[in-house]
Amino acid sequence: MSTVLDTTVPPAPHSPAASRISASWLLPLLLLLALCFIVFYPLGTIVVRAIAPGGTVDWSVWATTLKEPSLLNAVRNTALLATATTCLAVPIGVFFAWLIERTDARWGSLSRLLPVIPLLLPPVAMAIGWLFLADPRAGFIARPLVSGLQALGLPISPEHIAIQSWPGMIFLYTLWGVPHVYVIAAAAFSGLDPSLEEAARMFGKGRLRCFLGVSLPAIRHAVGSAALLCVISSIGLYSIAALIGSAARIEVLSVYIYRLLHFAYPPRTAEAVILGLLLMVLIAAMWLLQRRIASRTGHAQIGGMGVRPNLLTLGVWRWPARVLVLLYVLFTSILPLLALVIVALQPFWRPQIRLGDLSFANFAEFAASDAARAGLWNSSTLAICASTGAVLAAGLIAIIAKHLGGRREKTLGVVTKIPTAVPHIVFAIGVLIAFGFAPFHLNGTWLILLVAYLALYLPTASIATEASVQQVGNQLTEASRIFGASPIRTFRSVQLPLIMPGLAAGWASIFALALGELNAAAILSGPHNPVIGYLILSSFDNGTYSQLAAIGSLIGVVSAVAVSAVLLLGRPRFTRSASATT
Amino acid sequence: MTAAIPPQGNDTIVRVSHLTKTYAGGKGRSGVLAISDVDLTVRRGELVVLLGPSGCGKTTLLRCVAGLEKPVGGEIQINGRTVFSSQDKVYVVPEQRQIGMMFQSYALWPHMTVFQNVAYPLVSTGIDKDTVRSRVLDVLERLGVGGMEQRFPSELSGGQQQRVALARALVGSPSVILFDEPLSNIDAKVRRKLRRELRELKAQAGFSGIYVTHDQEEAMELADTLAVMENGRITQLAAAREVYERPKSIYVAEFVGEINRLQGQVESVSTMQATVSTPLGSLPVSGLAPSVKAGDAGWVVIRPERVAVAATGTLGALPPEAGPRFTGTVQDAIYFGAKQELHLDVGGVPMTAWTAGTASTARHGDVVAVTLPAASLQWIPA
Amino acid sequence: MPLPIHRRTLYAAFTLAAAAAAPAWAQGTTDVEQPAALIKAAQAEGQLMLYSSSDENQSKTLLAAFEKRYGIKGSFIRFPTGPLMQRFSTEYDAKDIHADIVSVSSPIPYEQTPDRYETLDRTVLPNLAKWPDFKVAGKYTAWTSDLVALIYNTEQLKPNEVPKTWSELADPKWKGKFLLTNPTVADNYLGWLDAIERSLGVEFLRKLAKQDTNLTQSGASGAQMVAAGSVLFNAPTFASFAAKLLEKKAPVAVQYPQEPAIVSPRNIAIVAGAPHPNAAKLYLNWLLSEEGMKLTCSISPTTLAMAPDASRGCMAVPQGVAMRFDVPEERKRMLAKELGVAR
Repeated sequence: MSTVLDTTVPPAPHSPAASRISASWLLPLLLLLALCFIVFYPLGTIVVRAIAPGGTVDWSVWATTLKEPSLLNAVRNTALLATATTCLAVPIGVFFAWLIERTDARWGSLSRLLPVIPLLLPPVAMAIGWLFLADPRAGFIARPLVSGLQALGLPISPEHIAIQSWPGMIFLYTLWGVPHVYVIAAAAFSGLDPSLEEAARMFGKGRLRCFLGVSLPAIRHAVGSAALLCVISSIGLYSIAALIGSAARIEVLSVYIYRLLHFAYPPRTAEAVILGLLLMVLIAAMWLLQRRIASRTGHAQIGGMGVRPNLLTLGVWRWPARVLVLLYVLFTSILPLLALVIVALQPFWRPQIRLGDLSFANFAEFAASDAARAGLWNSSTLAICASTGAVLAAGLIAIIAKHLGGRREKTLGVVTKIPTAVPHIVFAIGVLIAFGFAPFHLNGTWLILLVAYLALYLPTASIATEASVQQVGNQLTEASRIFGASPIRTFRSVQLPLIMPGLAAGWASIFALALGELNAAAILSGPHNPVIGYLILSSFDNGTYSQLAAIGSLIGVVSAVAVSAVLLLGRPRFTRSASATT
Repeated sequence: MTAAIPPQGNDTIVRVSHLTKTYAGGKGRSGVLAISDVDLTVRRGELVVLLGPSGCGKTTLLRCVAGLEKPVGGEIQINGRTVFSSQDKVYVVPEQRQIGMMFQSYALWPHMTVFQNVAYPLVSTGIDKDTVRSRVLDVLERLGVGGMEQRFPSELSGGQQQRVALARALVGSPSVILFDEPLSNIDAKVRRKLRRELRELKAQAGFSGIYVTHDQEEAMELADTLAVMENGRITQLAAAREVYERPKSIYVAEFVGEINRLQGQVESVSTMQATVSTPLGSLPVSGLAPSVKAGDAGWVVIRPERVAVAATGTLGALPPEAGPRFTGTVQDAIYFGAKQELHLDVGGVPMTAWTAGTASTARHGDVVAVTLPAASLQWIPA
Repeated sequence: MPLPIHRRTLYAAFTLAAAAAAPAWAQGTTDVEQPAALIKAAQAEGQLMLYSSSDENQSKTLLAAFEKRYGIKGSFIRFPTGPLMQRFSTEYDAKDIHADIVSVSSPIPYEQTPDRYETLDRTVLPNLAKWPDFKVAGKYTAWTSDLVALIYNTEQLKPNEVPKTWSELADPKWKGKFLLTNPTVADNYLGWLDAIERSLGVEFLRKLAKQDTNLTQSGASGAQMVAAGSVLFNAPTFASFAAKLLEKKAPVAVQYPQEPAIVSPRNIAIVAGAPHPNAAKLYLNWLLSEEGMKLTCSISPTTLAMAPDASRGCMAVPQGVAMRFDVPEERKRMLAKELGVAR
């Protein structure tokens, strides 16, 4: 007893406090510098080339760029698409996140994975899958649907439900956007204080009003981040627009820029770079606005209270809600993947499925191809390295930023988000120009792709980790410091484990994104360092849809295995709680 | 069992001198002076309670001692070692101050077991694993949560979590333990129980500490020394009894316990006594500071339990107190079990009186005789 | 190891005799032997990189046969002309050359930067001697030419229903039922558009614009859509895109619309400063060999520039309008606008 509560004062240890501090900050500092380099150097190259292409400031190209009549059309289409996608994807994603995390609509830890499954398919694969499903005359679903409706006497003609149209595009973009929103919103909801909602329920608010009035505002920070992410990514998305949109004559900015670079000879790089710069500025402005809005509200935090969250009972709405989630997963992943698999087994795409024709010939061809094998290997290793690197770096930066607080925190937040402001294609050009040739000579290597992916996915990682870090209550970190832990130990023992689920979610996102990444790959990947994106592009241009389907379904499987593993490992094993602090 | 309180040592464990802390204003708001020129001493074995409403600076003061906030001016010494000095530009980080702390939200790490939580402060000190294990289990046993070391915090009740948090604060035998309103989130019964245990624990172990609370009852029970804070300053620093019976300002008087106050002006002063004119007439007050003179404005105060109330017409029930008598009407009577609280209207002045619960229940409209014992009337200058 | 004298004389005599005795039509049917030194040097290099905008299937098949013959492993990049030349140029500018051979339809890239390519003549490519009248353009040579085609779905259209002339495309009965390849995608589709407008006038383009067609960005995917039955036919396109589908017994067939028949050339060149120059020379020379030519024509119907006859299984020289590649920007814009594929 007395030994435990012995209050003899131990001698103050002689510790050179100054050097201990600098040692534990050295590693993060180096890391920060390295990241700044790979983010800013390509961007700097872009800025310099945009403003002073020949070494002197020259605005003449700006006039040519902006006078182009089709540019306005592209911008308008992009804005419309981005807005429509965000307006649809964010509510749906948040709603699903609430259903799974906060109500008893979920069943088991497996159900938390369900809404993330759509991430497993690269957007291009999903788009192609839906093309196979929804082409009005040849689609697996659309064709019987149209003829069925026609048989019923309805005056439906195939053009009415074409996927190559505005509604089709918005549909695909939304399907693609929802899981990204879900991942962020779910992480936020899972750390929320249940007493907030319980209080609302006691005041007689119905479940839906509880969701709208209490749960939703409490995670405003995450919702804002998700919305911003949605907008930015839809601006930069190339694959769906290129494949479906161009067929529907809907030209968007990403395709416009891609054309400038690839379809013009000589390539109009200067114009592309200028547009990239303008986009950067626009997105930076939007981000600052979002930060402003978010900082005015509080966010609910994880405290150390260990309250078990009570799930909201849905009663009679339970099964309809579950069905809704299942339908969503069906639509976004299972159906397109199924379509891909079927077409992959067919000798060529046709709506009539003849069992006798089905074979694994396409997969065999794929396996036999050196380029394809190399592509799959490269993509997998790149995805693993990029997601791990980006997430750890982002986590460390988020924690350092929180520690610094104030304006320095804001600056760090901005720095990590900057690559999103640049469409992948333009950033890739910057990377190519900056690192591809003298003095680094990384062109055509695996390494240049890694550099590009690390920089490109840093924002995704940092958004996910920031949301996570914000939710770890200050007191948990302070307690660690009080009880003698150095900042490194605090990071390792307290912060890292607590933000792990958020990190895992970020990792999963980035892994799936990097695996099927198309935009940067189009610039940086080639026969010497092929990746899946490059293979898909060339398949679409040159090969058969069946080959494309084979690649797409393969990626789906690889992603599924890896992502499920991570999410299962990274799920919180302790019930988390919160104390709301506003 | 009342524990014998060990005599407090004379050596100072914590010394705070001239401490000032401001929060920079942002976005057009002017800065906030959180604590202003505060002096505080904590001796060995002493528990100083900082009492005050939210915003008075008590938490800021605590966090400055912990090292979680950086003051703007002043000096802090823990165990004779300067951990902060604005003049000499010294600032020791919290992890090197060797203190324990109990947080309002318990701050138990949800991903670690109880054992890991409590062992945390010992891990980096180089003590061998067996000693660590025995110390941890010991302290858990001592606090009544033995056998739970493999559970996670979320599996414990609120009270158990509280004890684990306390165990963690104690296990490292720190020089001083800081308490940041640790009992404010528990229900009353458990809170009282824990308070009692804390008091006993302190008596046995004799640790030094600074305790922040806004609950006056808690402060009275736990404090060796009570520091009442208002607007960043310590208004009164004394033992609980002293603070209660001789409050220095009307703020302290009203904050610590209930009090009746009558606005008044000193009419005349004589040795040891003065007469003050109040809405109830001229009242005698005693125990005045020598500086009081005629014409001073201020308050005459009396504690509700000192106000003697008797039902009119009850013979022989008048308390043998000497003091001015009045007639009052009962506006409201609240039965608390142990006591009865009467809201009275005495000559147009609202007053509160406490009588024993065993007394017969008064009712609204009852006319009663009210005596204000002269010995209990105090003067507080404005 | 030098051949014994009598054998050498025999060979020489035989060749001379064959050459002398060869009738005019058989001219160019005997390969000029590749120098042994070249073969050795090429095999020492062991690799070949082809940058070509031709159909993937063609490059794959040709390189596989080349490897079989000489043991030199070839790889290729296939992109439409724009991206392909852009990739090549960026690499060339940075002196990081990967390509050994570049093949695109349009002669313009070659003419704009001739210093990037090797001079081609009989010393470099011995097989050119087979066609003494064939003019090589200096730094590059024409290799094949193709007629712009239309691919249709045989399950939904009978051969007599298929449009025989380009002007039939404006027929209202095809409204919304066929797929137009976006002419702005590649220079040979743009060349087609330019030729069409010159023949049929702007009015025709406007009528086409009203046909409510979807667009495809590549001939390969267009052919897929036809095979699936999503559309009745796809134009403009090239026969090579149907090759693989035909192999798989897809219900597609190729039609060559007339009035006018429009011809698209394909050029090829060796990169100056290529990493594997000898392999490149060997390959190009092999393409000009009998084996190479026969193989080229068997992959999909095409015409050889230097031997534009129906021998070797190739197509006879198509009568038609040669497409222009030097279409001015403004005209390009106007054409695209009238067709409704750009604003």
